[in-house]
Amino acid sequence: MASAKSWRSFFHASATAVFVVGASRRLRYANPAWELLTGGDWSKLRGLRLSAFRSATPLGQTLMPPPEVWAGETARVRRAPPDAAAGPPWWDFTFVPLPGPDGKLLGVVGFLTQAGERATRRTPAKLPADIAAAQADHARHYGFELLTGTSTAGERFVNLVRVAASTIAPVWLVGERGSGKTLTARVVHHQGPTRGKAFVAADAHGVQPYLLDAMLFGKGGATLPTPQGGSAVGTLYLHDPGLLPRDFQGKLADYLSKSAAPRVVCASVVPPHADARLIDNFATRFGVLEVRVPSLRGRLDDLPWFTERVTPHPVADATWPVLAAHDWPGNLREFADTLRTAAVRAGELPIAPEHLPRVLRERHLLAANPLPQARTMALAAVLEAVERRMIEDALLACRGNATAAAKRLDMPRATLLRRVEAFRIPAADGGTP
Amino acid sequence: MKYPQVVMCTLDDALPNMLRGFLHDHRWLLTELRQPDAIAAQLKSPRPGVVFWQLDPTADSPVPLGLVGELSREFPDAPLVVVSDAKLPVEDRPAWTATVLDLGAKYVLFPPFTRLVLEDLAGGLMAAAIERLTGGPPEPLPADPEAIDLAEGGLADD
Repeated sequence: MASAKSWRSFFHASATAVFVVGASRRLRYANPAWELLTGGDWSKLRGLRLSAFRSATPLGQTLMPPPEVWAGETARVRRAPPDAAAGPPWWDFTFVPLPGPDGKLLGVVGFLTQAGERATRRTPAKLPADIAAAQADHARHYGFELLTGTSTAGERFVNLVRVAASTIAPVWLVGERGSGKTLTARVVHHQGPTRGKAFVAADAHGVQPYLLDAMLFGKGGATLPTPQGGSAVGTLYLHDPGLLPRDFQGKLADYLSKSAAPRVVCASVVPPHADARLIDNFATRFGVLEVRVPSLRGRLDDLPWFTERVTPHPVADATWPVLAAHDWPGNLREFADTLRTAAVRAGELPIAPEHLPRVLRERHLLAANPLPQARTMALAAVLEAVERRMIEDALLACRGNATAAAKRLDMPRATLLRRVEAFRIPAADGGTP
Repeated sequence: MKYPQVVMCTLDDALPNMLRGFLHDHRWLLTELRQPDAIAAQLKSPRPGVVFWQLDPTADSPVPLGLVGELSREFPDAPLVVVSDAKLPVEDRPAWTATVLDLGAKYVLFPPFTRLVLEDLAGGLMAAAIERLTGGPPEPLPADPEAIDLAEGGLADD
């Protein structure tokens, strides 16, 4: 067994910076490579208290193992050195917990390496000037022509979007999943009075509320004021705000009620007044102008128009009835995925029915050849047949014993006998049960 | 459905190493890239995907911001997380965040990077991407054989 002295000498000779933290969160050991890297003097740092709180020294905060290590897991962490707000250089830590024989944590071994070269001190660089050009180029892709179709429903929808874009009032888009709510919100922004600023989407699907909070209101958050004055956000798009915790909804409502706040566009599957997850003032304050985004099955006349925008691939005439027979529950997203996959299958040829998924072709066949009118079936006759069958089965199982069969069916014996007589059921053993 | 993939276009191995174990547990493919131009090719396969792209807005080479917009327009169902690894002055950060979000990024991440935040982002965005593609939530992780099931025992034989 290695002695305490031997492991210490082993670490001492290592070129990798190693340090040991005791269970009491104090620095218990550091090798010369660690001293060289951190620039610290071990004789003065022995017993240094490590903590994530500001009460600890900057070095003590930087060296503190994360909570999962104290829970017994190995962790790799990248942090800025204590004298810098950010890297490079970065300090890459690997923390290894040291559990004792009874499972209790004895301490943590930390391995420290430095990544990247320290940059020479310079005035912090400003954002490049070509950012505005990139934004302008991006904005050009979101015009009304993206939404305009040939159907009546499409025209009515685009007219509503034009009204929404011409005002600065809060807009609430209501539509099924995949119907193009985010695209519509972008068109409203880029064609509206706030187009000079940024469109920021906060999607509660997939991004946890604390991350959204940090993205909007944290250090470097999008809604903070810029040196030019005011926020850089022109439109804040909230996708399904009902998923957000109610306290965060309240925080958003307070922020968006300020005079300098950006414009709000919300989107959800259900209308705001019907969404019980929303706090009261949220739905009433931001559900001012409600725009219904039509589903694809309500705009089947626009299928050729949508197809031109999804793929340049030609479509055979026989394909259109197959596409129109489907009800497209996934709306435009499903339609675009289906067409792109079919275009790959078709290769050089126009997209034909056989390139579409089988479910679409079968649905078209069923629609073209409807089933014959089903026979009417009286409920009483069905119930009678079921009752007769159950009584027969029970008598058969009980070898014609009416008492046992009645018990099995959980009914009085007299009732069973009346039903047997009414149905004219022969006894299982050939006689009257 | 093919295995979901996380595409990480980073400057070094630090970020992929922080997520490697998490992605392996979920059986999600990790694709590491160094060239941003290669991201689009990775997203063309029909599988749910999440992109982490580490870029320095103050680098000497022009920032490929146009590519952020192109990726978000061409692959709207593949959420893009821009990881900003730069010494931006604090007063410039809100403008940078707003700009990148305006171009279609789903999230902007500033240092310090912690494993917990990266896992929350990758896991949450991937679950949403899978749900969009399949209409249902992702398969749950296989049960930990060492976990104690408190509901087990005592009731089955009663």
